[in-house]
Amino acid sequence: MPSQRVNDYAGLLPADARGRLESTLARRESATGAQMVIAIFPSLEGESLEDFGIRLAERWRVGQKSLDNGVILLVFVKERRVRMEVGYGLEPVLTDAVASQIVRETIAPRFREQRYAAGLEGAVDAVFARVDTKALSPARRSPARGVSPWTLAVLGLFGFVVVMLAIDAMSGGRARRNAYVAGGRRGWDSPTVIVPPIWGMGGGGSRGGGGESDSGFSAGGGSFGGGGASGDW
Amino acid sequence: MARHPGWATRLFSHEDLDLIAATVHAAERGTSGEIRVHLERRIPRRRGEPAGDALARATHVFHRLRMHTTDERNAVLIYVAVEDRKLAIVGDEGVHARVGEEYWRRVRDAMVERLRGGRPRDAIVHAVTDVGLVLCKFFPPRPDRPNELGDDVSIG
Repeated sequence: MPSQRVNDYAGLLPADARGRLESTLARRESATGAQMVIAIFPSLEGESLEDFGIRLAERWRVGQKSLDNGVILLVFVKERRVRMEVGYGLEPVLTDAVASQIVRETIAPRFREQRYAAGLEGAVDAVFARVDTKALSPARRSPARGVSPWTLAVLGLFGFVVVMLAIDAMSGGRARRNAYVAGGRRGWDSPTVIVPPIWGMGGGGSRGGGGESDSGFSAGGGSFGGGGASGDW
Repeated sequence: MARHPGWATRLFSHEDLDLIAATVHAAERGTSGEIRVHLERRIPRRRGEPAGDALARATHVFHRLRMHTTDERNAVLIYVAVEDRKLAIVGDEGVHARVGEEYWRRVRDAMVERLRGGRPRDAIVHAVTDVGLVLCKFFPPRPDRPNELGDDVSIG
């Protein structure tokens, strides 16, 4: 378990809002077993990037039990992009469409008004609303070991990471930056939303046509003991 | 910002490529493992011949980029032949021994799906992130071995 659920490296949230989010998440977590973690970064570059990688690694180790159900939401502050990634276990409830909708309709409008805490709170509500109503029954079903249903519900559950990142130099926008400072119309209007499961140690990753499945490692490097797969699109 | 050739930027914007490089960099922060993304216009072949096997080509590139020289044999190459619309993912033996065949297939499938969905950047970013997380899990960072290979998307 991460030490905190809200990691605001960018100082984007006022302390009280941060605390509120933190306790909301804790409450939701103990009620549903779903875990949501928020991380806010000022920039992808330099030091923050380190934090990013380190945190990511921490999450990984931390969340192993529930990897199947992990969700990552990335927000690029200066680029004004929000990105949500949902683990296989949560896909049934948080489909691409749903996550995209949460970002577009809940987060983006509030971020545009620089109401960051409100955007995140809204996102938490929206995510857990899905979790509460639909997630538990299927989650309960899957690992059919001799444990109490409650434990199963808690166990097979969720990680949620929200990462806010800012890339400035990258997106090449002095104009953008000015617009941002001025609260101009350029803000948060391209919420790139990507939801596909990136953590899927479990749940069948391949649906439908996966190119050629010549996955056997052959050829090439002689005594090379590695592995791989190829395909086309 | 580096200039990238047109065939590459038809699929990935400069911004995409920078984002990918940053993702690689970030992913590697938590691990001693190495990740490399290599884009190629086409799999080299004789005139008129069909494209060869992406995996064989990727393995070749893997060696050419000297990715087999990592201490723990834990480098992973994500290879894309842009105009052939072929891709491969290759992991060195250290990684392969831990993740197994099925893992590569899954990453491959996820990439194919996103590429077919017209989201090439996401295909790469997710693959990098996924691999990064796996590397973090099996190969914790080693302060004595900082970033052994570059992070930039290698194009050639």
